[in-house]
Amino acid sequence: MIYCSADGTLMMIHPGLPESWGLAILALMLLTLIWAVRAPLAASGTGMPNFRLPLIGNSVWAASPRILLALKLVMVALFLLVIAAGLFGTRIPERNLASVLTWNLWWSGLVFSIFFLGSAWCAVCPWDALAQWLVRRKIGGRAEPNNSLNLRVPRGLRSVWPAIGLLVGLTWLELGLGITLDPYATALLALLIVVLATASLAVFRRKAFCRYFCPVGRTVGAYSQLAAVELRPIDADLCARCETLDCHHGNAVVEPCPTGLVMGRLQQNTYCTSCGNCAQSCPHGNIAWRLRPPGIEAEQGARPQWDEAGFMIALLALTALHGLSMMTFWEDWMRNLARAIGDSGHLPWSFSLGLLACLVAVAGVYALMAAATRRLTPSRLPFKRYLATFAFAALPLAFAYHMAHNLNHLVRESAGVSRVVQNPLGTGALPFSMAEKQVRHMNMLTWQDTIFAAQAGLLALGFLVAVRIVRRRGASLLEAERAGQGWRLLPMLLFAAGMTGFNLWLLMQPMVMRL
Amino acid sequence: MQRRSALQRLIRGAALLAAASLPYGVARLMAPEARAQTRNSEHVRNHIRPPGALKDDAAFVAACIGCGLCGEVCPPRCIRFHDRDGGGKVNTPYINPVDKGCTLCNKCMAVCPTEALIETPLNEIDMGIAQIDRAACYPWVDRGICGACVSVCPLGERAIGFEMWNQYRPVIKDGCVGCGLCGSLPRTQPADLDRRSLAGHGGQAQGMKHLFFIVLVTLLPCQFVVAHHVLGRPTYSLNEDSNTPPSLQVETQIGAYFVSYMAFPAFPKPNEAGRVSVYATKLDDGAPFAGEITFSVRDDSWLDAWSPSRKEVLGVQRSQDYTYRQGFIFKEEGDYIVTAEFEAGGEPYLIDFPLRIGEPLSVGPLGIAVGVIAAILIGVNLVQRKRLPRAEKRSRRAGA
Repeated sequence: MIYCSADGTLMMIHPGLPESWGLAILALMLLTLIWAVRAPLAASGTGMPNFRLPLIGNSVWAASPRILLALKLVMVALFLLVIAAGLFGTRIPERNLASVLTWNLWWSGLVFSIFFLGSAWCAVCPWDALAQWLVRRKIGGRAEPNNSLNLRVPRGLRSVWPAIGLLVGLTWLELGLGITLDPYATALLALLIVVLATASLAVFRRKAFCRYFCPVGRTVGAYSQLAAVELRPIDADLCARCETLDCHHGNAVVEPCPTGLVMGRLQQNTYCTSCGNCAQSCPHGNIAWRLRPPGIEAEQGARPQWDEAGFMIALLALTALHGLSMMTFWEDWMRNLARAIGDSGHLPWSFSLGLLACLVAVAGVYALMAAATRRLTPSRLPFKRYLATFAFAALPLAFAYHMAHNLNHLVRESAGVSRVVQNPLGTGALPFSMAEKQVRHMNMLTWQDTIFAAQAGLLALGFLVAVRIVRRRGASLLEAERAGQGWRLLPMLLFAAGMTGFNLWLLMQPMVMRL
Repeated sequence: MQRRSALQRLIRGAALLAAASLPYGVARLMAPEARAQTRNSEHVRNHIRPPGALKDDAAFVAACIGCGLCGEVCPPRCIRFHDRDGGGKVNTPYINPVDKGCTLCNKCMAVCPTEALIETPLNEIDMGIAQIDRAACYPWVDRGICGACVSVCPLGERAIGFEMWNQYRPVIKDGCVGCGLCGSLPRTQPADLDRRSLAGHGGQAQGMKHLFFIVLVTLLPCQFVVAHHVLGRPTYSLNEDSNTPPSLQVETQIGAYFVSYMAFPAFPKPNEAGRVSVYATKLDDGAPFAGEITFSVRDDSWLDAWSPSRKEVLGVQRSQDYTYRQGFIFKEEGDYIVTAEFEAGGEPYLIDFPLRIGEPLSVGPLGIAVGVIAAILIGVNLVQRKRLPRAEKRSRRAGA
């Protein structure tokens, strides 16, 4: 006889970041703020620093496209396996490869790959690979372009606003509908994305899906502005003299740049998919991976854009929402809201309102702080310019919290993946027993203190980079004679401190998981 | 004047004391608790008497006639007997908590023909007190979280709980009667556990790749309903202690009640008997609901709000041990909504739960996706066949 009792359910409480770490970060933030207010701003317009580190291995991207192709094949095989497992496998999420691989490994691990490898994921992305093969009907090399209608993307869609919409939609599915716990729905989503990518490739010129629509690609692109590596020309002078622009147009055997960039003039990673076409088509072999100081692009390399700023602010709000939705009080809020508005089922309307409120709150506070900064600075630049410029500061904050949050998931939930790999469809598998659930949560990949230290380090680093960005970007907005006055940027500095403080608070809360 | 200076000295002294005691207090808090006292030898700790035994061991040995009845009736078979070691304890019962703990079921005390084991109220039993070896406990050495000992304790919160400062480190409380159940938890490797559960249920689980669709439950517009919604996502669980197949479980809060819903089996099929269990406790005091629950079923459809489908009453159930069970056999597969209705505190309650019978379409979505992609590719191809010659003609004309 089984009793389904309220007492019988065991709550697993993961401890949050210890207070000592929190206090240490707060102290660091305070010191940094004092420094940032008092220290004079460097005059703007110093240009890119010339301390890029030497080139790193380039064999995969330029010398031998076959390795890249092999990687793509592996990813496509895994992706098809995910679809098959989701459609035909067990509905028990922790026993099905579809949900484990997609959400526990890929979705949590992706953000770490961005830090180390930039947008390399896009180069092996199975969605695009499948669409490319289906539409262009060629596995590798330059394909017949007339298989596609090659229309231009309508002007209204030529921004990352569609990607913001899809990212919000993805978050809604993930946190609102709980698609992460449903292998079947995961497979449906995978199919939907393949259909979208294929349709977009068949209708529009180049890879419009990657450039304008893909929520994952744009997230990767935004974060990769903070990556420690970049795909760039070796000798900038050679590119300045170049007249063929093979990196943009492609050549007889290599496809053109999928997102319409000119590598020779590339200043920011935002739209680069690391596909390596430019490296292969450049007649001088002038393109390679190189190391760089992380954050330099967000600090000064990238140009402020209105729509990209929106994306970065949305990222900040959505990463915070991921943490927020795991808190116990969030559930209470949702429940109360549901009773107030008569919502039922999985409370889709309540969650939508919560999501919207989170987006509006973060964007509102940001706009308020940007307006206050504008008040303090004597220049007459338009407000929109302030909004677009300071949004780069949101990037390290979102990135740092995203990694710190996902670290918890990766370390605590990825034990036992090998068993799912051995039985991807979960044939004959039973749900986790109580003991197994406990054992899985106990078997962390590393020590708890290591996670805490890494999380604290990430948040501190994110804040420091954000302060550097605010100061650097602020200097570009201040008039030259006032450039020394760091205190005029105080509202934006407070915004960075406030968001870091909020994220810190989220990390310090114990995470409750019902077994 | 003198009084003031004396007061000042007093305050200064108190402040000094407080300042000095703070680090001491912190250090004391962080210091590991003393290990289990060594008054009892290993042998004594591993040989505790059954619950309700006479306090004086000599009196107990004198009273016990060695009949072995307590061991016969013991459900977990935790009661053992001293060997013939020549001592006076021969054939007297003992429990080795490291091996197997007592569940405080009361049966041995009831069956004992002599006064050796006396029936004792649960919280007055005194077999000892549990000790946590903090060097060996995962949470205490920051190597993870566990909580198994807390979850297994038959006395619950009054005997064992979590530390106030750190919500995952177990501490023994005054209410512990020393049954030893927490000490007898299996210390096994995860791999062993997995194999065991698979071996035990493998046969039943074959072909269990069937699905349950998370449904957005649309509800009947029903004006007298106070609150009704399903919150919490379905989870699948396995109760190792019973032989029931895996179950589907949904938990929700509705009005003043916390409601648990379970469906057996987790993936019911057409023409196969299944069961729904509902258990409701009050949110404020945890009192279980005792009354009648009416179960009914209807088709789950997206159009439900506009055209409610026909509702069929499955049955009216009274509680058995506060659990309401409703059996079912569905002839056709599909998505259904099971409704549990009851009245409590003068307010009507109506809770809808999704139930999927049989497997949902697997090939369907795949077919749709392939179809859509094929249609797009063919469509583009057809358009291009007309567009390309036209463009060619235009460019030729421009060239001429």
